[in-house]
Order: sequence, then structure tokens, then C-alpha cells
Amino acid sequence: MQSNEPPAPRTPSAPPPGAERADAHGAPDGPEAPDGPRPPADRPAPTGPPAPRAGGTADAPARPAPGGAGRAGHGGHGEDAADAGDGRHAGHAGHAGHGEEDGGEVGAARVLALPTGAKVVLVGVAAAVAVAVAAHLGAVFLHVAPSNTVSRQYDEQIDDYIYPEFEQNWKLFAPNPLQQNVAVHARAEVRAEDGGVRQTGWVNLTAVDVEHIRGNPFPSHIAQNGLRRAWDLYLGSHDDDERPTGYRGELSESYLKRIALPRLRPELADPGTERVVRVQFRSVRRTVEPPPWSNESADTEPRYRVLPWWPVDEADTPEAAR
Amino acid sequence: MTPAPVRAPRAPARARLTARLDRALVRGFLRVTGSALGPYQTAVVRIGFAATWLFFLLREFPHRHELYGPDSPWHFTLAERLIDGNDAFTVLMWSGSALWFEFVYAFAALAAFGLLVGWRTRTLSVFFLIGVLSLQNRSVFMGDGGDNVIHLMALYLVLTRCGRVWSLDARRERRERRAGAPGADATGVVLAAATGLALVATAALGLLSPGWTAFFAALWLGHAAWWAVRRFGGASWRTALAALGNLLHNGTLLVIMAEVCLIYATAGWYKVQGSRWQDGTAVYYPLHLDYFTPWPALSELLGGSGVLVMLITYATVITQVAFPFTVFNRRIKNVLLVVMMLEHASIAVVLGLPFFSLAMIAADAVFLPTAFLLWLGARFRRRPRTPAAERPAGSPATTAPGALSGPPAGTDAERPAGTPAGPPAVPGQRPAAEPRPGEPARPAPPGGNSPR
Repeated sequence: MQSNEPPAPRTPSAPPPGAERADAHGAPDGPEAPDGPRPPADRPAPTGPPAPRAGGTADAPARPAPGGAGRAGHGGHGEDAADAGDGRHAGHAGHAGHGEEDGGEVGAARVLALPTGAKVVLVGVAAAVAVAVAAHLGAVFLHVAPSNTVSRQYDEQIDDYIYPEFEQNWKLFAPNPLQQNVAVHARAEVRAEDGGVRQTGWVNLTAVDVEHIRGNPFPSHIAQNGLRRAWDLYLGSHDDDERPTGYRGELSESYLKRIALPRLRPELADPGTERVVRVQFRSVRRTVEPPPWSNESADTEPRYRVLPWWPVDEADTPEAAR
Repeated sequence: MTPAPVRAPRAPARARLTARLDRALVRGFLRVTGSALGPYQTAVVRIGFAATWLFFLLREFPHRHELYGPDSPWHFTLAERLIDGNDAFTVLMWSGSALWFEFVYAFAALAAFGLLVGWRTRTLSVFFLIGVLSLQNRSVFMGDGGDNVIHLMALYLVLTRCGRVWSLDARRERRERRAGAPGADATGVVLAAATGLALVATAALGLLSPGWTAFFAALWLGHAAWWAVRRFGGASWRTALAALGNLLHNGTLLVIMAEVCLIYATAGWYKVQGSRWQDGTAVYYPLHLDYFTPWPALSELLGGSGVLVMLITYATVITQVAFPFTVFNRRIKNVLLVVMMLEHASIAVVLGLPFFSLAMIAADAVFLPTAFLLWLGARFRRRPRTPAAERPAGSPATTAPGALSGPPAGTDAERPAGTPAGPPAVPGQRPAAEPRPGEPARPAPPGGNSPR
């Protein structure tokens, strides 16, 4: 996954997550480019038995001097240990001998020097981490990929793992960007103290959002997502007859009412005496005019979707609208 | 000519292959246990996300009640019912009181600040996670793609050693090193006691699910073990534990990078299927949506040229589809990285999605070249001039004396010069408006936070 392999295929096993690896050598793409993937230079005893190999593999000891020799060695070192980390390692070793490691840098040499038991445990953990990473990425991949035979088969397991915290959706303006402006309107039925009932006119709730966004370098999520996503939630949780398909549908209705009521407040003659008893929503969709340089045409007449009247009770009314 | 020369190489060839494989395995193992890779990349990701979230919280401060407060349009009881169904983590549901909400909001902001400056990074990354999840899960429908990335990264950052450079932790460590042994660390002990107590209390009160209890407990015990081993343990113990930490860090870093690739891959692959992306007009449409046009005149200008719109449309798709593969080629990757960051910077302005864009840029940053990051760090550092410049802890003694002023030191010294010339950080003027707003495409999306 990582930037690991410029030329590369020789070290199949060694793709540690070194974001910086390739990068580190980014600039001078000198010697390391060609032989990047394997560090022959720093393997003093290529023929040697495992143990000595350590010296070579452990980049740290091999690189005590940041300067001159380092450079040469560097090419060879090309790919090992995160150069980013290494600089420090070199310094560290030189500095404190092997005093306290700070946690980040251990150094291959010290790992090699661990007792066998500890090394076995480490190998086990490394394998476990590798498996966990693969499983996690596999699940996320299947979650974001189009529905396919595998993801359908393991649907339940994937969802159990992904929801709620790893949920994601990157269909950003895809497969097609939205091509219509949707505005949500609402009107209210209002009862005055004397019992008289009247209806307000339609109020464009979306206009409040748009007005906030216009000329604002940092629009609030309230304006950008509040009503817009509440409406999406409504659409996703109701059937064509405007009936909720589940409890999410009920939640969305209450949510919409609670967004609308404060915005309807200016319609009340006297908020002290008048009360909203029912509210009705509609959406107005207007297709965006096709680009002038395309020879398409589109019907840009507004299309309405009118919802039934909903009763309003105390719970639907945020304090701000009371 | 005879069989001999033919046969002879064969066996050794196989042996050599095995040996090579063997060596590669060992080397790989030593690398992922011996060091936490990408210290600068993880640091910049940490800083980027903490800053994005902090700015967001500050910007929304006047709207915080409406977003996440008990009386928000997404009322406490609505959130309660939704969360009953999906078990999302949020401490905000522990109480519907306004005071508790204010406390959590402040806590989230402080945690973001603490993580930003790298103070007690290990602990603060957990606080940051708690803050992010608590607020976002409280009102999922207020979020967009930017929140989604922050959410994921908050989870991942907990398992990375993201405070090893460019952090107060690193500075403290350098000081300790200079002073000799690690100090008694009263602050750490107090923090550990407080967090441990909080964990036990919340678990006892039944506020945490078993899964989260186990997760937090594992983190706490891990840190406690690390502290104990550092103070009292032998060298082997320290090495072994640090190696374990490195394994986790490196695995998670890989996940972060793969996650960024997945984001671009899916964003690109779904676009490829769209007729508007194919006919080269896709970018035109968001520029004419009321919700994404803070500057209508600018949008009009950009959307006015058919050629420009087509070029941006195609470039967007190509970049997104290609990016995951270019990570294997340093130079092309760096070019695309610059392109994508510029695109996001333009999106911030043109589509009015600054926080989404910031979050995406922070995510992209995991792929920035070390040399560039060092160069960047050196620029920031030039003014303060503390004796031990911001090299990773440990290096000061051996680094080249020039470390403080010039390019950052040592073996890396020559690299910065050749790095991507300009700081491609944030200039937003390129008219490349890539349409990737903070959110799932409208009509279809069951996902994108909605179905939690």
C-alpha cells in the first residue's frame, strides 16, 4: 500500500507501512532509486549466518554518521527503516549509547538482542497485527465497494463490524452530481387565543440556509447540512405515499418539524398568543439549466411534492420557537 | 557448455532466493518492530485533524446548541432513539443537561488543542476520540464527508505514535534526555489516576458498553505498562514493549494510508460510471446548486467555459482513480498530491466547504515526502531557535551543527533542497474546482453517516 516500491519487487515480505520510505528519498533520487528495494550495501556479510545479518539489516548501527559515509550508505539503505525515523535513531545511538529509548525508536539491533521468547511473542503479535489490518481493510473495502457477490455473502458480518463507527461513504457527487435545486417549504396552521384558526403562507425554509451560505467563507453546518440532510432523511425513510417505513421515518418527521418551527415563527402575528397546531411541508425541485454550451435542454419547471398536514405538539417545538 | 554450468547455478539460485526471502522477512520484521515509521507524516496528520476539528468547534461555537445541544432540532430524545438502535459511542447521551453538554463541548475543544500541540499525546488522542465521537454521534445528520474523515482518523490516531515529533511530548523527552533519567512525571501519574478512575466509574455505572470498556481498559493498561516498564523495567522489557507499540503504530499507519486510497478510489470509481462525468459537464452542476455556491459570481465564471469544465471534470476523475496506484511511484504521487491539495483548497472556497477540504488535505498529508515535511518544519522552527531544534528526540547530540538554522540536519540535509519546490500548502487561487463536496451524492446515498 505504501509508497514502498519504486522499483521493487524483490522484497515481497517487507512492506512495512513506511509512508515516508519512498518519500524520504524523494529528493535526490540518487543511488537509492535503482537499488532501493534491497540494501545490499549495508549487508556486510551477505553470506553470513542469520545472526551477523542483523548488523546489516539493522540500519541503525550501520549509520552512525549522519554525514559523509552516511550518504553512501544511504543509498543502500534506501529502503530501510523509515528514513524519517532513522535520523533520530542514528542520533540516538550515538548520543545515549543505548540508554532509554523514547518509545518510538527501538532499533533493529535491540529487537534482535531480545530473548528468544520475547522475539517469538513479537512475531506472533506482528502476525496478529497483519491479520487485523488485512481484515479491517477488507471489511472497509467491501463496505465502500459496489455490492458484489462477496459483500452480499458476508453482508451481516461486514455491517456488524463497520457500523456504527467505521461507516463511510465516498460517493462524492457520484455517480452523478445532483442536478436540481431542492427547496423545502412549510406553512402552518395557527390557532389564536380566542380559538380562531388561520393558515400562514408557504415559507421557503431553504432560503434561510442559502442566505447564510452566500458570501460566507465559513458557512455553518447548520445551514449546510441541517435542513438539507433532514430532508434526505425524510426521503429515505418514507414511501411514495408519504408514510414512514420505520422508526427512522418518525424521527425524521419530528426533526423536520423542529427545524421548521423556529423558521415559521415570524409568520405568527403574536407568538405570545398564537400557537402552531399543524404544519405542512412541500419540496420544490428545479432542474439546473443545462450548460449553455451543451445542446441539451431540460425542463426547468418546478416540481412539487406536497406532504400531508402533521400535528404539532410540545415535543416538536424547540425552546427557541416557543 | 556441459550440464555442469547449467545445473550448478540452479540449486544456488533457489537457495539464494530462499535466503533473500528469508532476509527480507527478517528485515521487514525488524523494521516494523524497530521503529515507528513516518513520524513526520503521522505528526502532520495529527496536527491537521486536531486543527481542523478545533477550528470547526470554534467556528460553530455560536451554533453549538443547535448542532449538538439537548434542545437541538435533532432533539435529545430523537438521538436517544437512533442511538438505541445503532449503539454509537457518545458521552453526550449520558445526560440531557445543558451543563453536561457545555462541559463535553469544552472538553472536545481542549482535547483537540492538546492533541494539536502534542501534550501527552497518547492520552489526548483518546480524549480527542471521545470528543469527536461524542459530538458527531450525537447529531449524525449534521455531519458531512469532512466529519466522516475526522471520525475515522480520530479512531486511527489513537493507535499511532503521532507525537514523536513536533509536539510538546517530544520537547519534554529531549529535556529529560538532557537531564539524564526520566523524571518522576507527576503529571503523568495524575493523568493516569484520573483517567483510570473515570474509566472504572463509568464502567461501574454501566455507561460504557462492554466493547468500549475493553477498548479503553486495554489502552489504559497498555500505557500503564509502558510507564512502569520505563521506570522500573529492564532494557529488554523496554525494548519489547516499544516494539509492540511500533507494531501497532505501523499497522495503523498502513490503515490510514489505505483509507486515504480507498476514499479516492471509490470517489473516482463511482464517478467513472456517471454520465455527467463522462460527458464532461459534471463540475458545472455543483456550481449551480444553491447549497454549494457561496460566491455565485465566481461559480458562474468557472462554470462558464465548456472547455474548462470538461478539463476539470476529467482531471478530477483521472486524479482520483489514479492516485492509489501512484503511491508506488514517488514522483507521480507527489505531483498528484499537489494537484489534489490544490483542488481541495479551491473546493474550500468555491463550494464553501472549508472544513471538509481541510480534513481532506490533512488526510492527504500522510503521503507527503519526509524531506518536504522537514523543510516545512525547519521553516517554522527558524524563529524560536531553541537549542534542541525539533528533531526527533534523541538526535541533537549527533546531528549536524547546522541543524538549527539550515536544512534540518544530518543525513537528510541534502534532501530538502530537491523536494517539491514550492510549498503547495494552501493557495486557493487555482481555478481547479474539483467537485467533491463534503457529502455523499444526494439522491442515492444510504450511507454517509445517515444510516447509523
